[in-house]
Amino acid sequence: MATVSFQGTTKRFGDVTAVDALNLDVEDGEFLVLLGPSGCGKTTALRMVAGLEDVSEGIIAIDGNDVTGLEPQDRDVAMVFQSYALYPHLSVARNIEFPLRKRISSKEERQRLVLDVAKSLDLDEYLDRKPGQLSGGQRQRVALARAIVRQPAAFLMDEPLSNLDAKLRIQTRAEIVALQARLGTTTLYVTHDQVEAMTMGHRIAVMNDGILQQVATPSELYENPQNVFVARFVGNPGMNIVTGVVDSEARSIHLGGVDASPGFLHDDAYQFNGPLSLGFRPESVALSSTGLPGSVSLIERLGSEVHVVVTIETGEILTVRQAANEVIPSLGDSVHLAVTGKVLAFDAQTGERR
Amino acid sequence: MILTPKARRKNWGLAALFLFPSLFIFGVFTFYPFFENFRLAMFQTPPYPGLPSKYIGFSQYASILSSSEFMQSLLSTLFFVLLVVPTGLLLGLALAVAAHKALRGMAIFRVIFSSTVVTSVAVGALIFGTLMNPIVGFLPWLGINPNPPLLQSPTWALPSIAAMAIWQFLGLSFIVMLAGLQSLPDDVLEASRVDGAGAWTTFWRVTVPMLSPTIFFGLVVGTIYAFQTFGQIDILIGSQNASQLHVNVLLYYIYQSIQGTNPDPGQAAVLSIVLFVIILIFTLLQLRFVERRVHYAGK
Amino acid sequence: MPASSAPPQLASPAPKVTHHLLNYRLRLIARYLILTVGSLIVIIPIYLAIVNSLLVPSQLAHQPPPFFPTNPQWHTYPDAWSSGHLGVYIRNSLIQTIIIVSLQIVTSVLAAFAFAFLEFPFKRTLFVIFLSTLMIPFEVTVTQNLSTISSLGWMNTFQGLTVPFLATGFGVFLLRQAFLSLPPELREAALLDGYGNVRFLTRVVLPLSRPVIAALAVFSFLGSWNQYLWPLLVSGNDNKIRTVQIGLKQLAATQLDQINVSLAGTVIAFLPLIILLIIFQKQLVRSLTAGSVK
Repeated sequence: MATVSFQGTTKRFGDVTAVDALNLDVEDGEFLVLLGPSGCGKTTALRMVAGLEDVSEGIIAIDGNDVTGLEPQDRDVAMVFQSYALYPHLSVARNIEFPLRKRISSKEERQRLVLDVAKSLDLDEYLDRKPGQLSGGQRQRVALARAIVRQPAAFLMDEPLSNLDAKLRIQTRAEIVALQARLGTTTLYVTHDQVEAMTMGHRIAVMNDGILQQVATPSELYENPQNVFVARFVGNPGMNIVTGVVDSEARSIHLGGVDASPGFLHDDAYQFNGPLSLGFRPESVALSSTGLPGSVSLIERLGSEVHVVVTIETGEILTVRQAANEVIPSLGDSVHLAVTGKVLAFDAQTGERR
Repeated sequence: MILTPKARRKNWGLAALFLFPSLFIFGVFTFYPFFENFRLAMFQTPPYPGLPSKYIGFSQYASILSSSEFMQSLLSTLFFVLLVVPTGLLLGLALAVAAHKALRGMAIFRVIFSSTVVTSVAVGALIFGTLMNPIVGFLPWLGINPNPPLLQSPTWALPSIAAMAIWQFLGLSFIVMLAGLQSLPDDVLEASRVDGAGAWTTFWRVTVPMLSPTIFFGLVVGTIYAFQTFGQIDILIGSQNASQLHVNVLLYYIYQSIQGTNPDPGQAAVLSIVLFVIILIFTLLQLRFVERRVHYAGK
Repeated sequence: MPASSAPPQLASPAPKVTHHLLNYRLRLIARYLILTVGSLIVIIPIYLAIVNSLLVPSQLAHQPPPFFPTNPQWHTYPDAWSSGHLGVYIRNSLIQTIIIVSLQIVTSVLAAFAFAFLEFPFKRTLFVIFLSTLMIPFEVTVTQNLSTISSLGWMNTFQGLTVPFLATGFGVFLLRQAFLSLPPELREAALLDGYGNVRFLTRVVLPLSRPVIAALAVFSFLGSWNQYLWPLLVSGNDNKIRTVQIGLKQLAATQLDQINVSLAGTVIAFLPLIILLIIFQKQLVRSLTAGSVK
């Protein structure tokens, strides 16, 4: 069990800064998800913890000890790779045993540990098979078993579910969460899938362009995004953002020079003055008889709910979440939108929360 | 992959250790002798063993390169290469096209066509020596009974040796061409057929252009193979007659310069440099003129 | 296509189908014809060598030539074996080949591993140097190598016969490509599992690269077994290390009535390789075509 911390950790590849002065503390026993679009630096950050990537500046500490210059094998961390990285020439048992061979000299002890872990992951029937003879889900469990068996200070997982089909992914998601809860091992989990992040992490660290955007619990992240990027990235669909000028005294909002205040019913919208980006969740906006005029440009039916995508007169695109049993407009219909729920205000220039 | 400073230092030592055996062998047996050629080429071998060799600079090149013996050797070599490489490649391609489809009995045909790749120079020479013997075998029965016999005729000795070399090169040529054919994406060939092209058009307009990297590789390999041929000449004709039968190819000329009672290292060095330069020119020419037209799929 | 419901304008394709079928059959026949002629070109010389090796000397010059050995002289084979010292020569060839193949694999694996997995200064330059050895044919260096070997006192020794061939640029290139095609995560997983370079090489890289190493082995076996120029120069006047190929030169008949024996020797030298070809065809093809496709 251990804490993991990044202290001003920076990684440059030539002129490109992949991770920019990252400060982040993962608590002992915590399941922390690194979330961001591809190329945001989350995998690089993980690989620096593993020791697979050199650190350009700053340090990485595990359990309070600076490990920046240590070899991967001296860091006591285990990693689950996106491709699983199973040794194709070794049986399942030998794959799981592989990390133990240098650590535990007694063969019986090693076999006992392998069997224990294999049983806990329902792999005991497949111990003699080669990875090529297993299904994707089984391979994924072998990769987990190989990480668990040596009881490391921390697990590092790099998109371990992305090679599974959708149904299996949901099932395995729950299994990993339960496993982590049982073992209590500090876990750093990288994904680009915000649903995965929301359902699995104790806390989520959102990254973009190498910069840490926000670290928060899933609900805090959803309710109180610190900037426009997080607001848009988290949630499915993401937050609606419109940019305009607010006058709190006059209680007016101008979008593209036109007064749009009839569309904003909640007091939140009028807290700040000046040019602002106003954000509201798709469930905080509804089709209405008055409000922001626009036309329906897309309708996505998801069964229980329907996403109605409306292009308003400024050209901005907003999504309305509706229950399937509500009245659904047709494509191209002229509609009005009213923001009924909470509105968050962001600086129009920097995108930071006001 | 590991880039921590400590690991990097550790890697240097290990890399040096791992590279040393190869580098050592290359240094002593490839690079040193290669560059030593250029020094030796400047020294004239003394007329009697034991006397010091004399520095004569580039004039040694001039005297050897202008000799009629060298010219004849060069012409024989080029003629030989031109006989062997295109014929061998075309035959290999034809057989590969014929054996490409997965039809009944193809496995056997493929083994047969590949088989000459394992024949050594000596084996090939002995087999063909018998075949071309003026008394034994088929040639007299077929009414081919030239006088002087094939391998003793200044006109026919080189083409006969070339026939052996083509036979031996056929296996390699076939293997390379077949592998090239099998690596072609089926969908492009099928698209061509669906687009209405006949088998013949598809072959020349689609298959051959897409096969051009393979053909190019075959050209380079075949050229080097042809320049290296001399064992058949040594076994079937021998050094006394090689020159007068116009089969004294460059490599055999080099061999004679270092073997025998009066070795001439200076001459051998000049000839080695010439051989290297010719092979280099051939390779570069092929790179320039063939590769330009070569179509590399997906690049 | 049910004939009854076919519209009239579709009735005409029927003869066309047979036309196509005929065309297809003709092409098939042509294909097999080419295959047969090609096979004959390849096989006839070998077949005649075998037939002639079994003939009575008086039959050798007989016209028309016998297609079958009516009175097979099996003793030509033991004759060739003993009079040609083939036993000794084959043993020598085996020793030479085993030394070259095994050590070429060792040096190539080590160098290829360094180029594929280690970081060191001048890596690119060194790799170009390795590749440039492919541009220098051995024949070009043979003069000086002979004097090197002779000044080392290695004439007529197995060291002299083999040492110049213990490294191969081709092998390094082939194995490096294979090593680089292994998933990089395997290397990283091994590092995290506590396996250093040497253990990663022996536990992961070597077992996974067995097919390519086999291909290199077959290729280098063929190359060294069939060597001619160098053994001729180094083992010239001495039976002690003379290889089969040079032995065959000695066995090449000068007398007509010995052609059967000399061909028997040829078959002895050739047959094992044909068997090897049939067994290891896949590996051989793989190594021979390493540079041709992609």
